[in-house]
Amino acid sequence: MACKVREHHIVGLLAAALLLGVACASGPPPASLASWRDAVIATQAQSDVALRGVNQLAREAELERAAQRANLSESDFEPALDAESLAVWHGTFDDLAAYAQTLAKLVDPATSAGIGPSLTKLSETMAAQASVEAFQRYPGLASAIGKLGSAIAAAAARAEAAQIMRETDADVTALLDAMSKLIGDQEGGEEIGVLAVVRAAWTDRANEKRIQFLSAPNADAKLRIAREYAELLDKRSAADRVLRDLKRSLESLAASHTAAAQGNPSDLSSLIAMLGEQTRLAQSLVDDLRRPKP
Amino acid sequence: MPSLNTSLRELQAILVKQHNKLNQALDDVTDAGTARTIVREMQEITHRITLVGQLLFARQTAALREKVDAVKQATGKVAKAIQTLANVQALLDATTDLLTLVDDAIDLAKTLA
Repeated sequence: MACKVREHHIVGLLAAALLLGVACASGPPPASLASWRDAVIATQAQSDVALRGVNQLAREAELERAAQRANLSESDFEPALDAESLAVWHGTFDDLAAYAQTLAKLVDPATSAGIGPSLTKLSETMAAQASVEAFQRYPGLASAIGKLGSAIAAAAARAEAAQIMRETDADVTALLDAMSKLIGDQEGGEEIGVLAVVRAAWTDRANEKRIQFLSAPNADAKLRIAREYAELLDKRSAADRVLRDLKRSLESLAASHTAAAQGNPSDLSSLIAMLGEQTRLAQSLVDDLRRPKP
Repeated sequence: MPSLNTSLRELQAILVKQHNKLNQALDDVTDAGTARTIVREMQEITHRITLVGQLLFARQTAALREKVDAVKQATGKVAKAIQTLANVQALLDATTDLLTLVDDAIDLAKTLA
């Protein structure tokens, strides 16, 4: 009789532990970390295109300036963003993506799923020789132990992920903030950084139309030039938006990392969809720069 | 004494301000020759905005290297946690294999007894 009571206790405790294990699974859910990883990768793609566009634009500006000069020198053709710095920038994204990928793998149920079957097999092996009555009376007991093992392992993995994210959050936020400020920042009431380079280069391009306008022979010519001027201003706005969107993406990545670390994961699906759209816009601007000017 | 980064930031801001001023000055120009002179001057300023920007970008990306170290260390910690899970599973499997072997030995011993 006492033995039966103990068996019931075992089964009851297992069921309670299983429920408790699942209920206590704190930390970011797997989908949110996979989503953060996808957002990092999408932002990297966005930045690749945007920064390529910056160098393309700066090269065009250098060519236009060089055309007015008496001679050429190497210093007239410096890239806006040099190869070594771009390699560091891309490497930083690679490290962030590796971090995100590893976190997503840790909390992926598949990573801890193997523990369940292994524990089930071990329980069955032990039960086969130990002649524990509970295992004979409850054939599903070994399987329940396995499921409990999986649930505990998954909960432990999520708790570990949350702990690491909390410890790293200040550094990840500082890193993404520094990257955002590289794109654009305020200094003495003026916008500086990559945004300033792009704005000045597009303004110069557009201003060529203002010169042409002043010597236009008639109203039709003025209309055509005014239209071209307006188109170039639109392109300047689009290029500006590409970089501001990149800044926003970096800031969103930082905010969503903090939220996930604090156990409040945010839905990044709309950000990821928007990043794809922004990357296409940035690519169209780069393609446009490569086309010969009318 | 300000750091080189601060000086570069201030220098770029001064250049941007000057570029903006010249751009505004163009609004009042009606002569193509004067406009051309101003635009060429703006191009020279843009060239320097780009050069200072390049220096600033290079210095600030170099600083990213230090900041990213913490992320790399965190990645190592996560990878270790994944390895721990794999080790637990390997330990369970090894224990099962050991028990199976022991059981076989016990069965054999029973038949020989």
